[in-house]
Amino acid sequence: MTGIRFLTNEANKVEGLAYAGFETFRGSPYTSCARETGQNSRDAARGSKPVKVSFDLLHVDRGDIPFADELEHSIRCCLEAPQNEKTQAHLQRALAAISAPTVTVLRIADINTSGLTGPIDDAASVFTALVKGDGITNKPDETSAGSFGIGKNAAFAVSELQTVIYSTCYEDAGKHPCFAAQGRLRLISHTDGARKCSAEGYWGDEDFRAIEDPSAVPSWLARSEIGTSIHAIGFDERDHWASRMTLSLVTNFFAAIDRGQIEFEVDGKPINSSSLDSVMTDEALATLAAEHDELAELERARRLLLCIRSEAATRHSISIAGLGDFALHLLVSENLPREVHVLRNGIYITDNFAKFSQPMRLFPGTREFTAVLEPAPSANGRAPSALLKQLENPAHDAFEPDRIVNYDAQQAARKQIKKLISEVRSIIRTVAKIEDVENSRLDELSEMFADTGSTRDQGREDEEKDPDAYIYQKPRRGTRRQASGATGKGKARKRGGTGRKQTGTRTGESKRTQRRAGTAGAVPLDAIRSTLKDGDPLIRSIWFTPAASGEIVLAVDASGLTDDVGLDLVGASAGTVSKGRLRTSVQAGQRVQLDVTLSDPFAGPIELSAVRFVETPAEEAA
Amino acid sequence: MKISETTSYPHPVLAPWSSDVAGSTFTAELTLREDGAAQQIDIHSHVQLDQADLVTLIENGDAAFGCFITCVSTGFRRMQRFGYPSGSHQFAPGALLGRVQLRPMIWAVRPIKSWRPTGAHSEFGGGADIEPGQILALDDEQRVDVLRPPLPSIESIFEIFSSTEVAEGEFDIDMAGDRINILMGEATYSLVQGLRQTTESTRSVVMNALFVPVVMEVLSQIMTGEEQFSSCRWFEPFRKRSELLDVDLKAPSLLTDAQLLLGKPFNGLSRLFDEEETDDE
Repeated sequence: MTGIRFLTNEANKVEGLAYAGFETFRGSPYTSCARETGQNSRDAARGSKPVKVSFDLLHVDRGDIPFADELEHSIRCCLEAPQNEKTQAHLQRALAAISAPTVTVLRIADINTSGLTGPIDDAASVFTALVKGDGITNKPDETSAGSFGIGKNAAFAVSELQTVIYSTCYEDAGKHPCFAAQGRLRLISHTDGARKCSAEGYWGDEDFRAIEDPSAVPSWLARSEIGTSIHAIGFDERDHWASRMTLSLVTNFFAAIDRGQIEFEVDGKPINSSSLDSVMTDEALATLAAEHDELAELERARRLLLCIRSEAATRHSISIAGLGDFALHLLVSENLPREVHVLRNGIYITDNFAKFSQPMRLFPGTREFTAVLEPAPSANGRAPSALLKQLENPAHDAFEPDRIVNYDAQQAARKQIKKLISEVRSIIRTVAKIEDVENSRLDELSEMFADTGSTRDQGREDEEKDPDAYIYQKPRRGTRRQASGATGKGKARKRGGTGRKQTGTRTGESKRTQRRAGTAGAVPLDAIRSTLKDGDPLIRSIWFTPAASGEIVLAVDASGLTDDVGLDLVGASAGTVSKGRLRTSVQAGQRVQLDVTLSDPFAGPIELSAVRFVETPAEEAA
Repeated sequence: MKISETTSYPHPVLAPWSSDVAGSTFTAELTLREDGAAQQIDIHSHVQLDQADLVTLIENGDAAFGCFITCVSTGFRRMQRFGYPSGSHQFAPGALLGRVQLRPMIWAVRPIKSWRPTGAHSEFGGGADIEPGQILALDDEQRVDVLRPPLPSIESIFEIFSSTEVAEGEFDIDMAGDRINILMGEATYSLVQGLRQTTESTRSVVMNALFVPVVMEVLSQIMTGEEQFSSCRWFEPFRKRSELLDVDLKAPSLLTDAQLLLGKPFNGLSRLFDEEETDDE
């Protein structure tokens, strides 16, 4: 039977609300929750499609929460236990949240991930590590972004009930889909009747087991697609929660999003490679970032995104003996802050190597730049990625060699990281070096003491172009190409040519196909439309409205890469086909629909042209 | 890739000249911006699209917006994806020069089954299966000329030189040439160059530590008789600047007038503190 069960507190241990795992994220709950859960989903990527993570608010009727009464009872028990004012206030809020007619739930759901793989009763499974593990990693990949199993606690920091329900769908060893759901909650140690209860409890099946029957959970907890849903029950919904999570996601995952590795949707708004620029330059987001002192993080993400995308940036591969390869992106430009930042798995980590005595803060003698360092995307980048993962601290703001316990491994890591930083500095010194010339004109004084006109260098031509600057006009719209056969003077585009305009009367004759499509014999066709008949690339249904009446010869060209290529017709629903073209009778202004059969299959775009039929002597004789 | 307004696609294509998809518009506003110092050209785009089905395709990652960019003089020819509804891309220096043609379009990224957008002409029937790469919407081609401007006609009358004749940490000036040459040892020269090219703050330091005493020295030398410099090209611009600021070259106040001629450079040092405060925040 499903229900909430607390661990027995046999030792009368006193447990308060300030559990260290949660407290880590209390200072910035939305930011941490977005980053940590996003990172967990990124690490669980499955297949080649981008991981998709959605953050949605659910307003669930209390009656649809199967454990609501039990949780309310447990909170009332907690309120009877000795506690301080802060704890009491928190528990009162929790009581109000679970007693309300509807309970707010933040659902974080991912797809294109492996889900929380079981078996659920296997201590080594990902499911067990996430739902019941403390201080252990649940990630089988040594290069995954997370390390500590601490990040999972971020979801509890946004739950006023300190209750999180996991539901997952995963494939077992035999590739059969399996469902599992279980909740974990942490209140305070309390007494329920005669039973002494620990702060930690679980919602699930008997004997602290997960629920494996999807029909045994309410619909808002069920899922049938492979992946994981995390539900923070009694979500602490404050102003701009969605924007603050969006801010966290774009400042941490900008590279993974841009590379199409992960997509997010927060409160219905997509954050993917298409929308990333719009989200990151959104003024409202910048205002919010400024209000929460996170503008620097947003601006840094914008700079780093520019650096990894810009074609003006240089790319460098750095090989570290005994370790592997790193990639360095380096953009040298004015008004950049001379910085080197580290990404891993497309997620921002830190710029801090201070614990290696290499803070990477000062770069004397260089021009301004921004650089991004990350493990190489190739197989040679796996070992560097694994090393950085070992060195990264839980706060994601420094690399710390002491995290490697084995002395020899730690010393090796120190040497490798110092060598890496030395290589990075060397590349920066070379690429961003201040120009070494023996003399230099002081341009900064030219506004005040200008050597103008009469005193300029002899022999310098006014027409000489400045190699250091560009000018350009506002883009203007070009002239549209006229329908085939349109006559009159004006600017016409040469078909299949260079795109240069030629002034004069259009000839309408294709040099390549020798087919006439202009002059007095050309018949302009309007509103040309075509489809593949029943999807068959051999038969094309075409529609057009001719501007003239009479017998016409219709030609179909394949719209090619640079030129049009004639398509031979072998049959038609009306008229007669001869020499690959169709002769038929039309009325000016009257819509024509024909099915034409091509000699060879072609499913791409076409050009249609028509000329008046003129009987040749041979045809007359025939 | 040849893209033309007369081409007929075997599926509805939203375009300003076409009636394939009625009641909707797709326009892209493109702007070019140059990063002055590094010579990079950024193209920024902003799309107006009110065809809900296409918007959904882009937002779901099934379609993408971008421009087919061609530049005959550099041989640049590429389909460049941009963010939607806004986006930008930075090109390498010199990649775009002369006539640049940009054709905004939306194309399929993933296969789309039975594509029949709202407003599609009835002649398209029940919909068409779309393969990745096929065009779904087009806007008018836009053209821009990227040119090199003429060299500016203004140059400084001051020039610094690395010289083995001057001791490190010191500098000397030579006023006998076309420009006022400031001479210094190699290491000092490197230091000055580094300061000049580092930040606005360090440039301010150079302005105070080097240029103020140099201008004082120049004023001092002119005071001894300006005729001796009247044939030097640097003298006329210097005289004009002095005249503009009411500096009497016959009887200058060296310290005050040097600061005046250099636009009160000490004020620029306040940046040093401003930056520190910003760092602390």
